Amino acid sequence: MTETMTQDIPRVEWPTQLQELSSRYQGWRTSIRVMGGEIGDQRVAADLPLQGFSVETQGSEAGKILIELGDSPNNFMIHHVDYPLRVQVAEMQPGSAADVEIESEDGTVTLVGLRAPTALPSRRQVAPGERGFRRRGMEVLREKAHRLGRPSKREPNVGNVERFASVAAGSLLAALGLSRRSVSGVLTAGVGAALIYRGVTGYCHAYGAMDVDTAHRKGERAARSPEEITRQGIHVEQSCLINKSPEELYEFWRHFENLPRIMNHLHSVRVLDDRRSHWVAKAPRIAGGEVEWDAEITRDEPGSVIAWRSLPGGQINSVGEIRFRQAMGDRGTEVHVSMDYIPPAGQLGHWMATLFGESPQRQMREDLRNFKRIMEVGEILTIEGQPRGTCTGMGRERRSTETE
Amino acid sequence: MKALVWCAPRKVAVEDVPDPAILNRRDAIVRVTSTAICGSDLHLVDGFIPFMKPGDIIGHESMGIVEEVGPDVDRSKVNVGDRVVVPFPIACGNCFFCRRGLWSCCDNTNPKAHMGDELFGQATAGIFGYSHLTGGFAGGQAEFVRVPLADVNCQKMPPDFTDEQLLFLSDIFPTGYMAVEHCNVQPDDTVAVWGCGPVGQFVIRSAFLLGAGRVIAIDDEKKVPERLQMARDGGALTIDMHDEYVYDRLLELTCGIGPDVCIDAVGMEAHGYTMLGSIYDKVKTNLFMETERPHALRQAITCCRKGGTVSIPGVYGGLSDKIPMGALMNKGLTIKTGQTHVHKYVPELLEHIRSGRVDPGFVVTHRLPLSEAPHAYEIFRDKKDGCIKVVLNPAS
Ligand SMILES: NC(=O)c1ccc[n+]([C@@H]2O[C@H](COP(=O)([O-])OP(=O)(O)OC[C@H]3O[C@@H](n4cnc5c(N)ncnc54)[C@H](O)[C@@H]3O)[C@@H](O)[C@H]2O)c1
Ligand SMILES: [Zn+2]
Ligand SMILES: [Zn+2]
Repeated sequence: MTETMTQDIPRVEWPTQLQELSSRYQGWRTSIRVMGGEIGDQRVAADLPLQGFSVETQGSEAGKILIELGDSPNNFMIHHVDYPLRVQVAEMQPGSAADVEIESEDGTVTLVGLRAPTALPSRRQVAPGERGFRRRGMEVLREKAHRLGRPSKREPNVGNVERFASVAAGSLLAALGLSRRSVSGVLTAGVGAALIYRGVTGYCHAYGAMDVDTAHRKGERAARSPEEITRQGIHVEQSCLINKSPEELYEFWRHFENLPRIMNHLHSVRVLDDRRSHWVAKAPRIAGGEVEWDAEITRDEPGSVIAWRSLPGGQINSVGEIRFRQAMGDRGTEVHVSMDYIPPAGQLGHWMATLFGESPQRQMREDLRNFKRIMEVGEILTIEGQPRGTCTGMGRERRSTETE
Repeated sequence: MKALVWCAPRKVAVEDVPDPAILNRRDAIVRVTSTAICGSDLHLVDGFIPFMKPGDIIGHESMGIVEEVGPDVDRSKVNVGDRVVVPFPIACGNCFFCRRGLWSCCDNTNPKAHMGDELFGQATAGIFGYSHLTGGFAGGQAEFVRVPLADVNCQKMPPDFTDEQLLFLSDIFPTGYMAVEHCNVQPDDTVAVWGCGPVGQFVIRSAFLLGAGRVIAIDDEKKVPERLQMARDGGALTIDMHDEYVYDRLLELTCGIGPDVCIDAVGMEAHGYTMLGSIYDKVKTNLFMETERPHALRQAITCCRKGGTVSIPGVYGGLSDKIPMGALMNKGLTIKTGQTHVHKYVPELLEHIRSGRVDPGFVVTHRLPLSEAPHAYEIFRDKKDGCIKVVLNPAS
């Protein structure tokens, strides 16, 4: 007989309980499915060893639950669960299986399946890094298109064919959903629209969560392998227009301790003296959960430029520069940021690269957007904590019928 | 509190949900006294707008009384006890766009801006109850609604008017007005409007307010005779798309040159009026890649006089097909469109209401308690029971 124990973990206990779960199940074979999401049910990971769960407590990502999987740079990933609402743990057949179900405010459910490591470590071969995920995602889409009577014959070349399949399948689903008016038809409508979006934009949230870029967009380089990143480092450049004077913007930024309010990956910055500061950024658990380094200001021109670089002895090498310039007319101030990260050599570097490599341009764009919001509005609007209904319509049924 | 929740395409329900709380320091909580259902809500319910999530509270035309304000709200602008109308776009009032009067394009109010960037190139403002593409903010078809940046987004109202006279300042009155104001209407101009729904009705009233010589309104006399009647009551000539050839009639009425201004107040779910047109979109949306049915828009472009203006308040969300670019370019047409910059128009429209030139309550045909919202959606969507505009009362 199997014995199942399901437990609802209250929010205040998430940090400690998830910590405990992590140590209990570290190394277990883990799969993650996201159900009820924008493009239907997605399997985002299969059979990767668990590193652990954590709750992001600081920065603009506070509130997220992160799940780290993988034990080598080639199969490593971090899955983010946004707006978690409920965490349930079901431990079945003690010692052999457990499920963690995380329900998000938007109704999506992340199901983490943990299975005891087999006696012989038969690590399923996941092709180099993200490519494994990429192919899986594509297979799902191709299967979808196929089931709808549009088999795609050629071996697809990532960006376009996949995108086409998305739009085609999406339009089909939307059209079928909207015309058939049957239960299943109605259900396909929403999925269809999201697929169209995905097709139109070439951006998939599931991929986003996995930090897999399947195409070049807006000057963003496609995802590079951790090897490439360790070799070349990461370079990001972004700019934005903010309706404040260069002096006011400079003032905010010059107080580096403000930066964790706007930068996603920073936990804290402590100012040591006039020129030096101590930075703590989040890192994969496997690399210690945090990385720290000291930085010093290399250029400081009030109201116009701040440049900094990390000092030797830290866990990461970085240089950064921000420039402020009066924009034309009454457009406020042009802000240009550039940053380079050079992860250290060796294994740690690989993991760092994986972390900092997650679409750095998009991340920097988000960070600058936060900067703009703080300066222009005084706050970053959130919807976390707002009320929502519990009805899932037929969403739950979709889960059991949509996927094979 | 009670709130209307989107469950799935074609399914909404009234549910008990937690009361909203102050989440940002400039938030206010408004007790909703009246809230309306909009044609835009129908696009959500029909599943034409992506990124709805089961459980989302919808509704974006609301007014009520401020119950609570966050610590950083500028109390000289709004305070507890004030009677306010809440514009459907959420704006900051201080970004590049807000300062240029483009409130619905605000850069700072959409927490999910990355999605808008991906889909539209640049994200637009947050909108109440209108999918996660516009921020996923809980909507106002509820007993209470949280209003971010309350000192910008709560529009204080005088006490001496009824809710029904003021409520439509949240959306459809400014929407009809902006659609016309965009077109620099002259006293000898003929304005043609497709769709006699609530937006079409306010287009008609606004066209006269802004000095148009003549207004011609188009809709289906068989399906919605009451709407065409309301259009005639507003002073418009009407064309029945069911029995008349719209193009022929418009050219006849304008001595062969076409209307100077053509306004699409129908949007992405237009009904086709030519066999070819509707079959085309049906086949197209079924088999290939189209996310909407732009019949009215196509016809507006085709009918518009050379050098005229086509104004599009009707909502589109994705990719439309077979837009007559040739006609558009060769006839030298101007296109004007956008989600309405509501904040910009509230003071001037309030003046029109005060002066008695317009009493926006004319459009209301149904008054129902919030608890009957699912039924209200049904009659509004299916144009049953003479339904033109429903106002919901969360208190009754
Ligand atoms: N731009 C904005 O900010 C804004 C604000 C509010 C509403 N809207 C949009 O305006 C549109 C109309 O809103 P509403 O509340 O009046 O909706 P509604 O659904 O009540 O009215 C639409 C009307 O168009 C008619 N119609 C359908 N196909 C037609 C055709 N081919 N030719 C002529 N008439 C046709 C219908 O019979 C109906 O009477 C919607 O798309 C809505 O989303 C836009
Ligand atoms: Zn509306
Ligand atoms: Zn703004």
